[in-house]
Amino acid sequence: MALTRAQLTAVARRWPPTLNLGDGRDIDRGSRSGRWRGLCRFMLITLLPGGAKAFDTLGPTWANGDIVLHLQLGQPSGPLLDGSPDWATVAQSAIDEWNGYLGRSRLRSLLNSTSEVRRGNRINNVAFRADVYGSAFGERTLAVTLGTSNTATGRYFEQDVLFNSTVTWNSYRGPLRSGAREFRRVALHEFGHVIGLDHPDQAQPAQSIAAVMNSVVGNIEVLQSDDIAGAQALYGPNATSGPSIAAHPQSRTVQVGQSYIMAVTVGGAGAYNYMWSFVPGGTTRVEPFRFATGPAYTIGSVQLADAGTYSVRVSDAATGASVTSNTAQLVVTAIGTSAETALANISTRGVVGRGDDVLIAGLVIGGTTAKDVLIRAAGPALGEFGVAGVLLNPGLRIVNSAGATVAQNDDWQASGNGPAISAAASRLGAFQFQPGSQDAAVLTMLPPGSYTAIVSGVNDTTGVALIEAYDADATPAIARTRKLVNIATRGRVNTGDDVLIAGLVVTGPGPRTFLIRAIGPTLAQAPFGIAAALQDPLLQIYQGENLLRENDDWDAPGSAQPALREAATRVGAFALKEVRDGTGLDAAMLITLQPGSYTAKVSGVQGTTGVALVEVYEMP
Amino acid sequence: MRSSLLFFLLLASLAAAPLARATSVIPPSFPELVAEAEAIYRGRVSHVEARRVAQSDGGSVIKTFVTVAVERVLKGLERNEVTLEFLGGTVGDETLTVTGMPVFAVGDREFVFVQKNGIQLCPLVALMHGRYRVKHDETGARDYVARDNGMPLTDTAGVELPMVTPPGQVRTARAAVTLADALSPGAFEASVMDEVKRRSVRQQQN
Repeated sequence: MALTRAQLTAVARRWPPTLNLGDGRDIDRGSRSGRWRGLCRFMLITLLPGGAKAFDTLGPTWANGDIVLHLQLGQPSGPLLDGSPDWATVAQSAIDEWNGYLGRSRLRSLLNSTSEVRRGNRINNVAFRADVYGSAFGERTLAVTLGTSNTATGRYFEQDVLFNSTVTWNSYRGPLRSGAREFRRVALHEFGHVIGLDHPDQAQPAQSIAAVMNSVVGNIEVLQSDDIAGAQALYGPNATSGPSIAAHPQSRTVQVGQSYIMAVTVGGAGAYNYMWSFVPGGTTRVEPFRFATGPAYTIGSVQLADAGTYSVRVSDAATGASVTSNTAQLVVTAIGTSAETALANISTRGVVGRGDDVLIAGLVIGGTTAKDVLIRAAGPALGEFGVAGVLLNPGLRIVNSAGATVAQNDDWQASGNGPAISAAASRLGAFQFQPGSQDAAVLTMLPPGSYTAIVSGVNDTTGVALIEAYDADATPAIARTRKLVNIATRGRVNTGDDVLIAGLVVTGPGPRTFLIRAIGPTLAQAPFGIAAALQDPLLQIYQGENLLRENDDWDAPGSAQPALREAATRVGAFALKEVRDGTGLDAAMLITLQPGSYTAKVSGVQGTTGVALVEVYEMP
Repeated sequence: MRSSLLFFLLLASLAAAPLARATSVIPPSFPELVAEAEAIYRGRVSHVEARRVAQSDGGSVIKTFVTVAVERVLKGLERNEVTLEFLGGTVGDETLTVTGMPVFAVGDREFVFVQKNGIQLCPLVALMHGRYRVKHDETGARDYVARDNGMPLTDTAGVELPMVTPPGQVRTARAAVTLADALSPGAFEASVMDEVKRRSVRQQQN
């Protein structure tokens, strides 16, 4: 029977047998026999199928059970780049990474320990120090691990990890940077010494392998297969069958509008739960990232508010054993926006009911002079697109801010304006109504101000309708000076296809930022007082079939709230409800969009229904 | 054929090594190594002894005292022997291990770049980077200089490399596995002396 790779490795490590000094180093010292042993071992390891497992061990190991590390690292003098609130959090992350693979003994942290940092006290101190128990570090030494073991039993009874406090430290992911030393990967390395691993690159004979345990640090920041093999050779595999992370989320720098995929790969088979966390940049507040519930999640259109760090805790659904990934840092760079880019069309599809449940769209004309607009209420036309339950005979009425009706229509050709409406639709790229259909449309010139377009069913009929507002100025230059700056549609949110869907067309030379809100809970309070308001709206922005962003509550993340408040003030939008009192909160986001067509979908969290308002504001 | 295969495998494995800088220590360049050493000796280890040493706080630590019979002083004051004080070692049943600390045995021939002996946890510049071994190649019937891990040193520029060679420096690694190309103790010594003189001249000019 052929030896397995692990068996070959074990043989390679033991043959020819070596005399151990007790400090984990073989006595070959250049002697002929030593070189022969080394050559034999090298040949066996080198010729192992699938590549060598070159981990090196110090000799002693820990007895079964917890290896308690007293984390006495204190607070960093400034913010840590990975968003961690303190050194202990970073150290814990490194501990968790090792524990994902350790069997009979596992590292356990004791936070804020006040134990004396001293050698010989049988306490595993992990601390910053300016010296190593009376001896200087030396200018080039960053950290040391001092292991004390019993030579007779081969067991450790103390391991102290001291980080050189005269060095400038920080914690970040990704490639090494000049200046501050990166704490986490050094801690990960030192904790490897704690469990008994040595530097594979200092083994004799010389060997090379990718490993955190090499005496050098570089861009390797997570345990490699050789590190894991070493840990499991000493302590066996994790008997809890808990998850182990094979690939951690990756740090990235992206521009606003680009996508970011947060992903983790978990080794082994099993059912796992994923709990992602987000620490906004410049804060220490850890916030759950509730939309990501699996091993991967894509933010389709990254915005400035997404900058920060992401990590995931993976737990075994059966045993509860868990492991936390490394944190990945997302750096977001701003892009220039164009003031000439505008909303050319905004539309909303919703259910038209009776009474308060009619579909109500608000639109705002900016500038100082009147503007041509085409407003349509499509019902029967939707049937041609396969929409079921359409409103068969929509009526459309335009009301100004004083409550006066300024235009209205039942059937789009009835006013005699049909040819002009058809021509405008053709010019604006809108789909055509069928001749004689009972869809409604108004082509009119509106002075700057706020208007409401109300879509109701003639004779109290109900069904799904689409309300659209087009910037109908024939000359683009005029369109840029007299803008359709906002549309808001109030409608009923049901389930399935009967949710509220707003479409927006962005035209212009470059990207533009928009404030998009899905409002429910605020509608329930004064001055609106809509009892049937949707209690917890979910807002999702799509481009075609691609989900770009989603938001449930506008206070998540909390770091985005100040910008949302400020944006609402700037565009004259009413303030949103701030306090949760048995409901969710409204959803809102600032999103920078390239010219193109998008949809904003408003639904109720967990299938809830009610009246909601969807708003799109162009940010000045 | 076998040696070619081994050589190829070794090269392949070296090429896969990560770009690196020191974790526990920051490797010095060769000029830094010479400059930061208060003394540089070539000699033979004559005595190794681990002792428990009392500390001012009432506790104790284990230290290993390595005595080197000095054959030549390349930098620093003339002396016949020097005893270097390393944190760690074994006394009775108790072993204190400081990972990365060079380990010596009686009879070893060494170049040691000494810095703050008795003050630092390791009296060598950057721990293992301050120790160069003199080894003998029986096939070539010559002595050569090796790093702490036994890897032959082919160029003083290799001093600042990690113990394994990162990508982009395979040429150095290739040379490093060829004993015939390894620096002789004389060549290494000459390079050290040149660097000592160069620094001395520069200091005088300043």
